[in-house]
Amino acid sequence: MSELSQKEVLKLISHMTSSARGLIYEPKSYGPFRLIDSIIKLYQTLEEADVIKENGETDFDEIISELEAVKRDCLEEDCQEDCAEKLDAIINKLVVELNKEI
Amino acid sequence: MGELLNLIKKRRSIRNFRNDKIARDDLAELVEAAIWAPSGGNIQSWRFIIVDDDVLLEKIDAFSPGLSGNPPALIILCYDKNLAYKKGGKFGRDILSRMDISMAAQNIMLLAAEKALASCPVKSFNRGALIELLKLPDKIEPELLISVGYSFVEPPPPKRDKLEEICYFNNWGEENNE
Ligand SMILES: Cc1cc2nc3c(=O)[nH]c(=O)nc-3n(C[C@H](O)[C@H](O)[C@H](O)COP(=O)(O)O)c2cc1C
Repeated sequence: MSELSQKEVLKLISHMTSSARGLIYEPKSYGPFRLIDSIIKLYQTLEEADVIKENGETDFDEIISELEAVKRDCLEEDCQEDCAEKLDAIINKLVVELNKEI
Repeated sequence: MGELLNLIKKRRSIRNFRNDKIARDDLAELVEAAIWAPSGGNIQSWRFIIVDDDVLLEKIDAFSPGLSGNPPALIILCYDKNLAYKKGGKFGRDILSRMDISMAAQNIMLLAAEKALASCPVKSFNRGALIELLKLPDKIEPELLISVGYSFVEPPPPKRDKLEEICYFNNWGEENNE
């Protein structure tokens, strides 16, 4: 049976809240990095808890690995344009996927 | 190239660790290296907590967005604010003690590199949560975490500025000043 423990939910909420708190004074470029990091953690938690229904066609692994690549790059100097482009491409894919679901 | 310069260049911030535990003797030796760093006025206000308990590591990780890769150990570098103030005044407490921590941190990370241990300095942690989790008394300020562990990865060195662009002999801005 799939199950998401309170502990895992608390860990996610703690991580995201601490990220938000830290970002108040951290460099602006940390923002996208922390959000992408949170997305990856959220997805891993949901996947490990086996709570994602497998009836869809969306290739989450592919989307997550693309996000991982952006996460690696997005703290590099002068990476804004490149990261914006890569995130736009991922978002375009997400629109297509969501259109299939809704 | 000299051995030390080689080691300095070899040290990397590593954010991916194997599960293997580190012997406590090795961890203690890293802190031994830390206390041989210079300290302003030799005040030595630094204090160290070595965390190798899995449950505590998991909790600290949840409140430390800058911490990555599930290290099997953390060295928490703190300083005693009261001692630093008593011996060094406001300057000692607010400036020297933090500089001392940085020097101690580099010693830890260099010895780790020599021992083929991976490490990463981490400043992005939630101070309040860490104080609570480690039961730190009021006078103890947590300044930096260093994750330590064995790793498979050897990341490429992040770019460094060219020496001639950031370093001058004598007057500012004079290139090739001999
Ligand atoms: C004061 C300080 C704070 C740092 N904080 C973090 C952190 O919170 N998380 C992290 O992953 N790396 C952190 N780093 C590591 C730097 O990102 C890293 O040193 C830099 O990118 C250069 O890479 P290198 O250490 O491999 O040469 C910190 C480094 C320093 C000196």
